[in-house]
Amino acid sequence: MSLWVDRYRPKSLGVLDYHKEQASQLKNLVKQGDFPHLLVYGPSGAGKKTRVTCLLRELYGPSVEKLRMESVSITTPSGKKLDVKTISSNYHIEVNPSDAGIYDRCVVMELVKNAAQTHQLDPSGQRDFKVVVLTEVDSLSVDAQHALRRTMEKYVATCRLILISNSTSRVIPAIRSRCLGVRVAAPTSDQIVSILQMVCKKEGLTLPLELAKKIVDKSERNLRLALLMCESCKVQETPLQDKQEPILPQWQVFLRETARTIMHEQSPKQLMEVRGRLYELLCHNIPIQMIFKGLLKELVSNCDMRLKAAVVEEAAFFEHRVHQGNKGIFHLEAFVAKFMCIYKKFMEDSVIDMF
Amino acid sequence: MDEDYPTPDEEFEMMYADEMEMLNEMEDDFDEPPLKPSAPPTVRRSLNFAGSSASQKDIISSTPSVSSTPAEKVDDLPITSTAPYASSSSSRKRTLDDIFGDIDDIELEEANEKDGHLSKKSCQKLSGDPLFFLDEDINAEPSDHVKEIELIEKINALRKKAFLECHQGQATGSPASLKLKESNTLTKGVPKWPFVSVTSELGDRVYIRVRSDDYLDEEIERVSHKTDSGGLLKNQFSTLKDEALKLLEKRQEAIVAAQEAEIAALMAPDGETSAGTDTDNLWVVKYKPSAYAELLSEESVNRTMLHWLKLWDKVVFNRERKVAVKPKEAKKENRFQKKPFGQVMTDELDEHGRPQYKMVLLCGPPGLGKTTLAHMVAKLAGYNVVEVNASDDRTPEAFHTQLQAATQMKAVMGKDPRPNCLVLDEIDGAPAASIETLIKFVLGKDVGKGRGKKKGNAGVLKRPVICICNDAYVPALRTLRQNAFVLHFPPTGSERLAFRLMTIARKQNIKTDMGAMLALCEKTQNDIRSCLSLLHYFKSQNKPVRLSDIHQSSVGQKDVQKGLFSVWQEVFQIRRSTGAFTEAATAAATKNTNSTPAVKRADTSIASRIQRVLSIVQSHGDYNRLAQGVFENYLNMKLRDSSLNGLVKGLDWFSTTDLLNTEILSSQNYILMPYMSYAFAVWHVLFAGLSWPKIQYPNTAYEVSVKEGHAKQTVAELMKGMPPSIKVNCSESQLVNEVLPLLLEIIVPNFRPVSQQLYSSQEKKDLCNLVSIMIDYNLTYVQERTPEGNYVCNLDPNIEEVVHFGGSKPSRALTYGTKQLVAREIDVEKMRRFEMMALSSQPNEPKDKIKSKSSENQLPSVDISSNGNSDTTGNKKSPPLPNHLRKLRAKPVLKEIQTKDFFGRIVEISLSPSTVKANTEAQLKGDVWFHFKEGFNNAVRKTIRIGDLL
Repeated sequence: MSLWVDRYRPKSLGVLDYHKEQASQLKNLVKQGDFPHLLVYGPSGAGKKTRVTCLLRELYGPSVEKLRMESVSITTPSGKKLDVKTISSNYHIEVNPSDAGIYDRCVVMELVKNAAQTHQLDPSGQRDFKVVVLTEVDSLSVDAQHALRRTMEKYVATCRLILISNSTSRVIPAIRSRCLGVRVAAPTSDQIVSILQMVCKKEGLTLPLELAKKIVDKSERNLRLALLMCESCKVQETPLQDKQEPILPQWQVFLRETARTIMHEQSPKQLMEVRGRLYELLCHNIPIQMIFKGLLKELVSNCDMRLKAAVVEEAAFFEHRVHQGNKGIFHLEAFVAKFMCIYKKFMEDSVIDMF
Repeated sequence: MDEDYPTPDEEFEMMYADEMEMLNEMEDDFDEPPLKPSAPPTVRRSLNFAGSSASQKDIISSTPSVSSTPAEKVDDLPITSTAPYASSSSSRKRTLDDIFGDIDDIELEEANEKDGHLSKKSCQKLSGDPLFFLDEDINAEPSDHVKEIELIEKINALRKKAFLECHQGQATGSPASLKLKESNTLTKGVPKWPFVSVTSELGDRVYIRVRSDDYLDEEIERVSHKTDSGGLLKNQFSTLKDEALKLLEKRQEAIVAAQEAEIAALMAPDGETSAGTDTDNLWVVKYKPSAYAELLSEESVNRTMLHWLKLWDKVVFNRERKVAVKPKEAKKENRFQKKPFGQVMTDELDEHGRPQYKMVLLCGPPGLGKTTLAHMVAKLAGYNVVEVNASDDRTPEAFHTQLQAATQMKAVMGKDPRPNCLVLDEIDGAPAASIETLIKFVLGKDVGKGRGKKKGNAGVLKRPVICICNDAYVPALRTLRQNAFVLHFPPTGSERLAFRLMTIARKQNIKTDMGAMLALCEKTQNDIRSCLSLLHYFKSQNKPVRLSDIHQSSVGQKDVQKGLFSVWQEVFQIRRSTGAFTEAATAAATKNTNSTPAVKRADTSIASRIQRVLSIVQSHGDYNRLAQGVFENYLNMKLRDSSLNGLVKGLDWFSTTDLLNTEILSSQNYILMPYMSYAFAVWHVLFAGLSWPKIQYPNTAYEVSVKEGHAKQTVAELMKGMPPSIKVNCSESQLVNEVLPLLLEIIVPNFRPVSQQLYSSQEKKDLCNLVSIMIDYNLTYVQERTPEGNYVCNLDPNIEEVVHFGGSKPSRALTYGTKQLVAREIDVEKMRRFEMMALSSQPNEPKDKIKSKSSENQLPSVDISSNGNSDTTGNKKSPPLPNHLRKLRAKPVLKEIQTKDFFGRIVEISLSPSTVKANTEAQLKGDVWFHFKEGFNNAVRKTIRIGDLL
């Protein structure tokens, strides 16, 4: 009894709902008894982690699900002490190195290396290697990734790394070439609909197709989001209705309103208001990349076709600068101002053209 | 004298009596050399009365007063020569009067005070016939100085000689009658005629007759008639005058000749050598003000300083202040106050006779003459200046010794054993510990490592301390500021400074004009030192100084750091005609770059503005904070930018600045640092307006980061309590972006507002589900009290704050009662789960324990029956005794007790195992058991599980 997302999460490779071919390939990989480092990538809510968990279960059996949380204290070269939370079983350890912020390199150097160096304690275990799962690899700094390179090669006898990231673009090629890439694509709309209906059936509900499609549409093929939305719909109105509107996360609504504010008027005063809203978003820990993406999507959808390319180009330019720089708000506002400028010019030109 | 309230003039006089006195004294000291040939002050003084009685019968009457001045002055001056200078001295007097008001009496008083002859002058004045005190003078004056006696004798001789001459030349007016009159004017007993009583230093009291004006006139006439013949002088007055004029002319000529020679030398091609000769003496030293009146600093500051120093007179010189001299006014006026700057300096002295503030803190930008003022004033007030500056050792220990040396000792050797005045220059650079030492010392809290205790009073500061600093708001000076009288130095007036520079230039034969000097003042921001240095530099180049030269020269520009707000203001505001300097700087700049004739552009030209902003920003240096300030304020400026191109450009520069900064910080590439400042020039050009900008301190970024940190912490707290099986599937970002917003919608199911017992099965199921979800995500409700006194149930950790935007309330929410119900259910469920965990882990544990214990804890009966092989196995299988059934017992003595029957055969004790087993089983199965008389006071026990209660 818990959230549907957690309750109906498949536990083994055999019962996965989609990408079954890939699942069977993974199964075969495990059957070989050995497998290379893996780089699992795909969009959020596609089931990467589920797949990795299933793989681990396939490797070590159900006892891998007995998880415990540990806090490892790491001392940085500058003498600062960091606490990094890890989740581990007897056979594997899972770390999110980006928790340590700019000290992620130390996590890789100390924690991962340590885990990799020590042999499996229980020789009666099925495998003579253990698995280190690193999540959110794309936010790993370049230094940390370089630190990972040698570790991957040197301790291949005792450990396998499974890297999980949203995209490979921020993983350095040296790492990419050392891993077997496993792309977990987002499920198709139909797959999500069928999953939603299956879950509802198990819950003793009937999900109208209309609502299911709406949910799929709003969730942008993010299965986790879709399931959460579905459950929230159920809480809203118990026999699910056709005309029900699935609830969006509040920050997305807020971002949409912000985009509307930008479209509404282009002036320094308006820019000031937009800045306030952007600050509000940053306050709520919304990653700046998500803000960029959300804004761009909303803005582009309301733009004339001729403008779209230019706007996307600007967004890409400033989003890149966000990664290079430190102060996100500068670049974010620069993008907004740029858009305002382009948009205003376009509107004025079109007004002139009319006469 | 009888007026109760002083007129404003008098008041002023009283207020500044000290300073006046000092000024005059100084006038005497410093102006003496140049004035000597024309009018020695001593003579002048005597001639004052002489003036009233026109030409005197006996000029020697002035000699007694001469005796009150240093001897040598009398010596080198022929008494006869006084007359010609009378006019000149009085004219000089007038100018002095013009400057300082009526200072005659002060002068006199001062003289009196100096010599301790209080009475004499006033007597003279009153009587109009000063003859009388000649004798008294000789009597009264403690003639400890041989020289003085000699002098008096000399004077007497001269007088006799004059008398003789008088008598020979003209036999009118018998000295006898004069003498008679004299005796009438002065008695030692109380006379019958109107009188003024005068007490001499030794306590002798004499009474002087007060005559009516008519009598005086009569007397004057009489005397003047007598002297009319001019027999007093050996030569004729006219011849004397001619001689004097000739002498003066000669001297003038000599001076002119010397100057001409000097000019010639300068103009000559080998002028460099002459210029080079005076390089060893900096102009700052050379043209240091030599008199109080020459100080360029603000008059009020100077006066306050002097006033404060004079307050020390009581303790340092053991000299009463003016209060004693003017007892009448003093009574009413000894508490007058001046309010020069915020702080009030009172004239009240503490129990040691010291002023209220023991220190003065002079603060102001460099080059205003703070040190000069301190030295000058201290010297004026009769102190020996002991200076401690940044070049000295200023560790607390060294500082302490220096302090003690300066304030408690004085020079034994050397010609002037004057008391010390401590001047602590550049104190803002001293270590905080040293300043602490200073304050402790000054306030008398210093125990001085045992030494101070010895004398008891030794710790009391008895000398003035003047501290000088550039920035009074240095953290180290905080306590000092509270304990010292803070004098802020206002900038010197440009005109005054320029005028002085002109004088100096004239002296140095630099050809220049007032405009150039004013520009120089502006350029150096009225820094006297740099003005002089610059002038010196021009002099060494040996060519006329013109306005353009000053603008073109790159020297003399000061690098002054401005406050954050003033920098932002510079960025956002276009300066209107800031003066000649910037204007011409532009001209110079254009001249340098374009090599076109310097056309005077308007001050608001872009180039000059950029130049200005750049220099200000660069001198500040904290680009990051400056940029943040510009960022948070630029949108509030009045921007006339319809196309928004300016905004885009400006923001582009913001993002570039950020990139630069990141690069500098991450790779320590400080070579890029200079490029940071150019963004400000762009922003200035884009955003600056003419109106006064309203600038707010940029704290939005900080607030945002605080809020962000708070949200992060909330999420971290949430994640800490999540079970690993849930946590493994959601990272922090996923939690924030996807799970939490919807989770908040999910945990608000519909419950009817009825008692829990009346819930339908569906509701019960929902509640159960809700509780399990909330436990999974480590959520619960806590009761909190709002400031209004209401109780509310909030989520803990309060993720609502993280999820909701702009204070928007969730559309649906549980009622207060339901939330409480849920919270209770969560607690109950947590307990249940905990017990379940405990139960599920129990079966393993006891088994292991008992296994290990069974070997040593076996019942004796078993031991006994261990002989019977069949029993042991059965016993092992029997369920182990729980803890509460076990008893402590002594280790059984292993002794073969074999019961034998009568015939000596061993009897087999048949202990049926089944009964034993049944017994223990019965014991275990029962929930209630008791021990009887076994030392337990709570004899009856029962196992109760949480599950049974719930």
